[in-house]
Amino acid sequence: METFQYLIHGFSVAFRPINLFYCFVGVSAGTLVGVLPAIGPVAAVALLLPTAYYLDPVGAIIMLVGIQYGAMYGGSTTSILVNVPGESSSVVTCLDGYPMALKGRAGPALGIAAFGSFIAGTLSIIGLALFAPALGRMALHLGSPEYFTLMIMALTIVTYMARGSMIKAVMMVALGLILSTVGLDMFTTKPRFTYRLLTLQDGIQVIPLVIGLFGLREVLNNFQSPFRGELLTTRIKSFLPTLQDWKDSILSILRGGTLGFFMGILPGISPMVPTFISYGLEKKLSKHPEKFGSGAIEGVAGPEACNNAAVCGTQVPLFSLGIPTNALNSLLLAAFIIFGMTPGPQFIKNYPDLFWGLVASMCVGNAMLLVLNLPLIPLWIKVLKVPFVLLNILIVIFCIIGAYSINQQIEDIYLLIIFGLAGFLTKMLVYEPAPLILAFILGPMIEKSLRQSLLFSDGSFNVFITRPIAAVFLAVTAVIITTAIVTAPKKSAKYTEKSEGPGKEGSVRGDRLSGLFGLLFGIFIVIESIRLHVGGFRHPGPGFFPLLGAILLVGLSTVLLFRSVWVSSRTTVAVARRERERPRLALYALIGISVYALIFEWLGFILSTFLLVIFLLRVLSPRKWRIILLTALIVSLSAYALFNVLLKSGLPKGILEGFP
Amino acid sequence: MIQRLKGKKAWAILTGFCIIPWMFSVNTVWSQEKGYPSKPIEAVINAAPGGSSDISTRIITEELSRRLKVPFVVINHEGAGGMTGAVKVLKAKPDGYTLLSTGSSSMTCVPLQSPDPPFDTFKDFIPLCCYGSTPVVFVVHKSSPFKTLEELIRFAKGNPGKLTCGLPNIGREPHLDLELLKKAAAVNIKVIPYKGTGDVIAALLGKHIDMVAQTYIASIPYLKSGETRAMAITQKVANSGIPTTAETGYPHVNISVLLGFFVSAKTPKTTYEKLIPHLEGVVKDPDIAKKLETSGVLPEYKSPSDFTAELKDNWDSISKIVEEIGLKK
Repeated sequence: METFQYLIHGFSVAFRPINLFYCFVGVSAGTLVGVLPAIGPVAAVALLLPTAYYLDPVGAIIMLVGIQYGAMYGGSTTSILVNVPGESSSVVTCLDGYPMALKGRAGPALGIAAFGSFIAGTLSIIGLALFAPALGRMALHLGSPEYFTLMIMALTIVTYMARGSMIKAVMMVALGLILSTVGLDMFTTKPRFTYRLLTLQDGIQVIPLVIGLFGLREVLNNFQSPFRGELLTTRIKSFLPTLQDWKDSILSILRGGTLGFFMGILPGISPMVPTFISYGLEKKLSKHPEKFGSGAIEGVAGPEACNNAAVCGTQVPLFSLGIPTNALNSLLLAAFIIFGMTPGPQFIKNYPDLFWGLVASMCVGNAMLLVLNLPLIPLWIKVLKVPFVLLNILIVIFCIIGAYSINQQIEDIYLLIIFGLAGFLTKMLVYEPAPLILAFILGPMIEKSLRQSLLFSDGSFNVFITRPIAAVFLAVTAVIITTAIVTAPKKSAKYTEKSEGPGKEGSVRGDRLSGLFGLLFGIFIVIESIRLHVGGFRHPGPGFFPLLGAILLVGLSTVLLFRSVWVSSRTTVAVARRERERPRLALYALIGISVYALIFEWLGFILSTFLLVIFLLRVLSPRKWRIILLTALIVSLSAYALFNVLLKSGLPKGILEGFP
Repeated sequence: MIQRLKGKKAWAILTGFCIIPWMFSVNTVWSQEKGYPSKPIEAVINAAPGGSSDISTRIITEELSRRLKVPFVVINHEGAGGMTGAVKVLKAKPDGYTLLSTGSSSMTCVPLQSPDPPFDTFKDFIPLCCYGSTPVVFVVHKSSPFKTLEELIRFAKGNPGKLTCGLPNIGREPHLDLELLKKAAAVNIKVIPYKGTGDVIAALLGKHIDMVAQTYIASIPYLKSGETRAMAITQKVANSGIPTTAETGYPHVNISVLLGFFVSAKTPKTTYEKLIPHLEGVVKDPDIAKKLETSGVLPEYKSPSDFTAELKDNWDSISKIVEEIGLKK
């Protein structure tokens, strides 16, 4: 009852016109940064934090939190429309959202993402309001052994659910784990795989990895077969989900929301992790799992509901204990301190205006987002009417700005290009990037909790079995792995079945090539890890974890290699090239983008972008020079205006120094 | 006809955009002759937004901007323990329009542990002032049986390797102070590294570790709320009731994080010397000091020469301890 009164009071705070205004500004800005693959909510909050200093605390916090969940709404849009995650927790949305768009069902996909976010968001706000203190305390009981086993379980579930070949999925996991160890080892500060590059000391950034493996890969692929765009534009049926869509996805929304909220509470887990699990879960529970990956609406609804709920979940430890569990909440904590408030267990009691006002404003904000987003859907779909080549060029530019603006480091653009190329190659060789990204995100957490556990236990693995919660997680993992191994022979027999074609499992030659590469790369990492010092279980050294990843990679590459050599002697599948595919165009585009990266800082953003757009337009869809020049001019100037003047991304001015 | 017009218009716009930037660059050449400072000054913070040096830098530059009548642009360049931001400042034109605002770890601990540091702290940078510090504090959970540092050390002596101390990171001031304490008291306490302040506090509140060494600024919320208890601090904090490490018998456990401004050593002396008195005035302003205190920093002005001397002292003791615990690469 008391809660109810507080909530009423909260609504009276949230409905003050000025707070409604801040809420609106927050959610709109959030939607914008969510839609743009270049700018994440962290950057947006950081940008607005100094301004927030001058505002009234309640209004400022309402606005900053609004950015967070607004971004979750916006993130799905780019994933669905162009297969580029607008925000890292919308990676999974690409898997089925984009195929839905290809089938002309972008409207229902966007609609269910918005409704799903709204339902899950609202339910988790209720969770936050009612249970925050108790849940925050409970989450603290999980120690390193529990985290380790939980992460391993998550990784296993997701890998098990992967599309296509299991071996390839686990290879990508191993690669993701290895990539996640780049940078200073947090236990010894020893540099690992940095090769004297300052940028790599903090490890590989998520943004170049995600937008390279998803965004750039997709764009390069589009450049080589530029006719796919017609699919998108011709058959758009309806803007809203049908009754059948609702039937299919309402349970997914509820499940995704619950999962997201509870995993969001756990310190240190990025909202991206539960979205992967939600996707895996939906696929497992579905009556038609084969539809996943080719446009199943549950695959959009679950994860999208999940990431919104997860954002709300991360607020539980922040408000109940003053513990920030991610970069965004650290900024919010900084905001509390700026306003002279003391976070901690008394926070909700001491600042009821703020907490209940915020809770109410989140309800209001979610409703605003729904009202804001639904009418936007037909508008977003119009984005697809932008000439296909131009749309892809815009995505390239957004991807590059996104990589650069993390730290104004040109090296991040190089990384982006490398991952784009890697993504393009793996697409040809039929590997899925999703397991790699999840492993990359989970890698540091797995390593940290594993090595902490071993430090606590003096090198004994008993901690994982004697602690009940850890033991349960481990048992579930064991069951999944056993099931996978038992059912594996059936799966691999499909290798060369005619109906699968080159699409699903890849060609024999490709497998042989990638298997060989994986083997050599794995051996290289093994040698490097040993050089880094592996240590024992009592005192695991910096090379300990990369070695585990490398052994996994070497083992699976060997299996893949043997299988491809052995199978090929029996049957061969002719790889039918897709019609009108022109890999040369993708290569040209890649060269153009690489040159662009080289001249980026010297010429400055405007001039180099101007040149890049001219080059790409000239190569990909030759038109009159006048049109090309005008397009290039408009694109480079408006991108500059949007990102540098409005969003202050710190793009280089180069030789145009002095330009406003 | 329309086509043609469009084309002409396009060319006109194009030429326009080529000329306008030039006009602006001519403009900046003029303004430079008017004497320093006459255009916006960039303050580079080599840490994430929201951190200790972030809020305090914004407080100081805001006041400076009022006094110097030029705007300050505050930019965050985090990365490589602050070295990325420092390098960015060194790469900028050394005309006094790019300042570095940093905590001392990026100038001492980090380069000392880097296999090839990209700069020499004392040769490549000139300090403008130290505006304050944040000490290192040893805290325990509120339910901990240890009421004082003495009790904890006594237990650790009887049970070597039993106690665990969580750290927000390895190789920075809290870690070094812990190692100094272990050495001075001749005890063995297990070091468990975590990922940042939030992570290590979560572990302490969940009672997975016995104690934490962290910066005072990061510990304030939990000390205020009573969830944690401070046992000793490397520097006196007025009205906090926390005993200093010197008072508890460990005077050599004394490394605190100093916060200050630097410029590239290539900057002309006549230029940067104009800033120093203004900085002194701002930091000594009681209103600013109060604002800094709310942000968690202990405000205290130190002149460039005092700052350098203290940095050099820290450098020597840090380099010794870093070598001893095997963090030297």
